Amino acid sequence: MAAYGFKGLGWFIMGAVVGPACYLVTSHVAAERSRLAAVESAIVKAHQDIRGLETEFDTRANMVQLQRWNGDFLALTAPRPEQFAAETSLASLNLPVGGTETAQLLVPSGANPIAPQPAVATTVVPAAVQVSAPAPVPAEPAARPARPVGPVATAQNNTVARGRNQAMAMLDDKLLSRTTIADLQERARSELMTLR
Amino acid sequence: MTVLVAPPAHTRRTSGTRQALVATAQVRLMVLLLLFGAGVLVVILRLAVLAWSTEPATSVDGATALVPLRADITDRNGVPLARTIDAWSIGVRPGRVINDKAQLAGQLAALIPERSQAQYLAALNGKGFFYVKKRATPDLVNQINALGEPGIEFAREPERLYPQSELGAHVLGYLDDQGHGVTGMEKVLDARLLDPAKRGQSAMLSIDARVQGALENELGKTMNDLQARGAAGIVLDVHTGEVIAMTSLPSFNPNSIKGSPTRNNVTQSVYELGSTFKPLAIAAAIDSGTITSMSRRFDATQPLQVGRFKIHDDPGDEQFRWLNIPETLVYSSNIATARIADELGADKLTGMFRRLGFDQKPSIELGAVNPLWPRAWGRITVMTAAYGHGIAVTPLHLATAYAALVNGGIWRPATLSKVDPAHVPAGRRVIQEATSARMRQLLRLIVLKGTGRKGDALGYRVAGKTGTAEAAAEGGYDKHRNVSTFAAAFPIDAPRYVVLAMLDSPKSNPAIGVYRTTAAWTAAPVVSRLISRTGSLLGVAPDSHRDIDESELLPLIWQGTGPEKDPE
Repeated sequence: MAAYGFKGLGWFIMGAVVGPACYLVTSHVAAERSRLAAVESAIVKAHQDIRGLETEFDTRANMVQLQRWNGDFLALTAPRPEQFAAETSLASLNLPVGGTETAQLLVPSGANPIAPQPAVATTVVPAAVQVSAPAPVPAEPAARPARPVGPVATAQNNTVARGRNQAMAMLDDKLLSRTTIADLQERARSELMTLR
Repeated sequence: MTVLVAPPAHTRRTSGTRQALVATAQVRLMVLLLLFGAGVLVVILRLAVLAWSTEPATSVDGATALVPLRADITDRNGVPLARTIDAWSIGVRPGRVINDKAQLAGQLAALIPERSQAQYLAALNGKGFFYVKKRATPDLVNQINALGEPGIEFAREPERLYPQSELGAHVLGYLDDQGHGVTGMEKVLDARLLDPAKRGQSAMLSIDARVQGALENELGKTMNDLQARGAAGIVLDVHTGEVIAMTSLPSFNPNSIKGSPTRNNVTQSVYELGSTFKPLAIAAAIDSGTITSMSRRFDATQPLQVGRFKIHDDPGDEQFRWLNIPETLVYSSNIATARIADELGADKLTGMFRRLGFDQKPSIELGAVNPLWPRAWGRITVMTAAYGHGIAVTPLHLATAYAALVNGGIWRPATLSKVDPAHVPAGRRVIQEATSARMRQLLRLIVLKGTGRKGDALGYRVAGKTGTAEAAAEGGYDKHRNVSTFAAAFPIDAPRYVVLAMLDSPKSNPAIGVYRTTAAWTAAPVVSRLISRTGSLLGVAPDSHRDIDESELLPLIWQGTGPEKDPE
């Protein structure tokens, strides 16, 4: 009789322990599932944002706008045949020992006196091939005044964070000379004025 | 200490009425209990049904949110040309407006000056919901929101956006209010773009946005400089029939359609394309064996009188001597071409034109018109048609014909859909391989020595033919208006592209060095600049040291003793 009573109690205790435990598991799963759903919806949102931003970028950088910059403002012209190098002549391109003149690609930092890395020499080839890009940019190293020649790509040798910041900040310097940027800014300012 | 006082049991037991009351109370309690139980059961059942039947809301959204309602259209390299985006739209429910309506109309007119204050006020005094602005910028939405009017509603609605705005407008077309294509590829691909199974993938056209941009820019600039009425241009792949670029100016902006847009002159207008037909007639003569020797001469000493009709050479281009085949093309002699056509005969010439599809609509997906095919092919008609008068075709007809002329003699329909290089349409043979090779030499000679010199692009081995025809006006020709065309192919030693530029009624402009309105001065430079800009993008490497072999034909061109006369 006593055993029977304890058996009932045993069942009750088992129910009282296992029931909440099971509920705990299901609620945990439900929580995970809802978090997954939240992540998924965030991904969808991000995809939509990417699409929207891509569209905005494409719209702002459409062919008419590029033509305005390349043709009307920078007055770029089509590359001449002699500016193209055939594949055979690229293969036989003889680079001088110790790197080539890449003055227009050097970053004036002056902070870190480390010798230039020879890897920079390889950047010459893409520059020559680049002429076939949609908006051909004529090479203009000769016209540009020589800038202070500093160590190249020192950013890699610094701490990673600082190097990255520096690289980002100097990206503009690499792409465009100071005078060009000043011109661009002035032009943008005058455009703003006319818009008002 | 509490004292419990209870009535003796026997007093209750003896009361029969009391017992009956208890019984009814118990019955009522039981009924109430059952009702509650049933209510709980209903709730539980409903919960179970809901738990089984519904799905989580997010799983449906996630899959569909990324699929646009209408598929994107891209160029051959994946650059988007048409996209469906969620744009802000601003609408007003006049019933919910609480501010002063006149003041609100003034504020709306100040922010969105597309309608006047009076128009806004009229709409606000109406009953129905109306859109103030579709495809509004977020900036404008912020400004309107700042008005604080609860009657104004903002919503995200799908809108078709053409990121390149006017670029390729005639190729793309535009949508109506219901979201169906009205013209262009939007109309042609309407079912495919709206198909739920396919709209996740963008539709790829044969257009190259960079080449299209360059073509529109060069043609538009020249059209403005020379105050031309219109212009048309095509770049065609000679081996697949793909249209790499196609434009007709003046164009329109599919993002904001005002009134009915201009028509596509490449497929929807026919022109007498003049001397550009001469290579076709000569190809027919070579192909049919009428002409066997390039050195055979034809009399061009004086205008040719046929009945009461007199065929002249263009003033300035007259040679007043007998001309052989290369010279006929180089100096673009109408008289010599007419004599060749006369010997060729109507059957062979019309046979050639029919094989090139000049008697039917141009073969392309877009809407097109029928050419003006002469009703009767009398002697004069044959002679004039050989130099491009009396027969009017679309510029696309001519471009596909030139593609067949230079690619080895295979005619293929033009297409705006990207062609898989493994499944190029077979096409049909219109001239022999050898004739095509000869035509390549002849066309290159025109650019090297003749009227097409301004059409050459250094290193790209351009070959082509100029054509200047008097524009057709009511009941005749307008002597002061030209239709100037230059049809070219490059690189001619291994032809890959045909480029055609046409200007309708250009004027001379000595300020920029254009002294005449003929094609050599107007259309040819456009083609030259276009090929210089886009040749390398199209995969043609410029090479100044390569060219087609002209050693057979060069000695046939008579070099005068005096200073060489400019044939332009």
